[in-house]
Amino acid sequence: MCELCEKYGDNGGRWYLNPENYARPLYKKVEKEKEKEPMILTELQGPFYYKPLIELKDNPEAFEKMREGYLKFHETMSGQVVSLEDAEKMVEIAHPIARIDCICRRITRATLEDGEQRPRSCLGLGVGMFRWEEWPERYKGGVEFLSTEEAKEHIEHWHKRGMVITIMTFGTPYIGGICLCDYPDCLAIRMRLDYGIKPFLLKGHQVAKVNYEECTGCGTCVQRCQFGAIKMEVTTKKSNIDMTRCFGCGVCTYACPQDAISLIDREKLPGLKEEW
Amino acid sequence: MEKYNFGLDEEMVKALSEEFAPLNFVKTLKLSQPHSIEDARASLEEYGRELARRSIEKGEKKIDRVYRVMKKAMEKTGEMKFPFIPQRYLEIAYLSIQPFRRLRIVANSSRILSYRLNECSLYKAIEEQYGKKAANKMVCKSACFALIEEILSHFDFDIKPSLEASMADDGKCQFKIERK
Repeated sequence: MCELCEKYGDNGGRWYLNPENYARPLYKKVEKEKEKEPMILTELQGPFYYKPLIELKDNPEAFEKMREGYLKFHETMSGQVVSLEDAEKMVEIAHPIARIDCICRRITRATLEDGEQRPRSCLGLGVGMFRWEEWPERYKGGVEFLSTEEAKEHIEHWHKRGMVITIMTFGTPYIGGICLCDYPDCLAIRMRLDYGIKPFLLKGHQVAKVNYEECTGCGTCVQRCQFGAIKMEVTTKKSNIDMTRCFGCGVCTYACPQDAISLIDREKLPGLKEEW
Repeated sequence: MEKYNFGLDEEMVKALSEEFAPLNFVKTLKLSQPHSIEDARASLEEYGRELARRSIEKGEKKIDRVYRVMKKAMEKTGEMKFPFIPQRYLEIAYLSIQPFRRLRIVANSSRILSYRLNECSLYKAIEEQYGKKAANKMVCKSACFALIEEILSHFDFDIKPSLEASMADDGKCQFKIERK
């Protein structure tokens, strides 16, 4: 069973469909002496993410030390890939929902998602959004509140264009965001694939499977996969999915012009049911 | 109380906490006298209703930034009046009379608003004044039900709250407000 479902699921259900994991109060009493200035996100996270990249080159020991730090950080922040279907159920539970600039792209590109068609591709969830709009020093760019239907359209729009849907906690198990991710911009995907920090991004509850009768070997899915899990099988001239590398995001199912790829439940497959 | 910053208007919370101080109110209940439970229940209901009315009255005048943004979000999306409007006034009321720093929200989706009190100044005051046996009769729940019902009614929600756990049986109270 998925570790997070085991700990935070509602009677064995998927943890991210449990309304308790989105619940927060609007207000709290804060002792004045403990009040802090809002932290600027890049100051917190920029060095945290980039330091190992710099140190990795010449100092593997330092990298290992940072890796341990990441694993500790996971106790408060973790994520998981989710399917479009599950993401649509989530936005029916979580409120408020707001479009926000992707913090990963901001860090990796050192820019906001600017331009006339500003995508604001990620979704912030929960009552924290009521505060973030008026904290430009913390989260430059503000937020744009969406209705449930608008949120569904937003997620579907980006997912069908190749973005992986992931969720992030801010104080596990509190789910604070639905992200629309791609490699290498997404720091969670990067943490998992490049640094092997598994808890940062768990695989989803499903895995993709090719119907070889339908596959024409066009290779569209190979280009779309963000996890390097699909290759073109030379002997058969058809796509082949390495299910141990598949995160079950479902991007390939929408990319395939033949509808030859489908998602199946991970936990029904003995070899994969403990593979998160 | 002064040492806290509420996000909510501090003067408002302070005024409510003085007006509805649980111990002062509980002393008026005379629960030690025979046949006083029904009278106490009526008084507690009135206490809860009045706390709701005053929280709404003051809370609508003292617009904090969370509420301001919330109202804009509601206007834009046409959603979220439930659960956040009742939640706001429940939080104002409870943070004014209870010792905890935040109300433990168990669920606040478009369908369910549920919260838990792991400690309660009203229950504790009854226990201190009249003993554990009197407190465990849970007559105090009348105040919480009246508080919730008054808030829901004021904002035109036709929903009946339920008590899922009680201080007497479970060491905590948990209320659930579920839309059908």
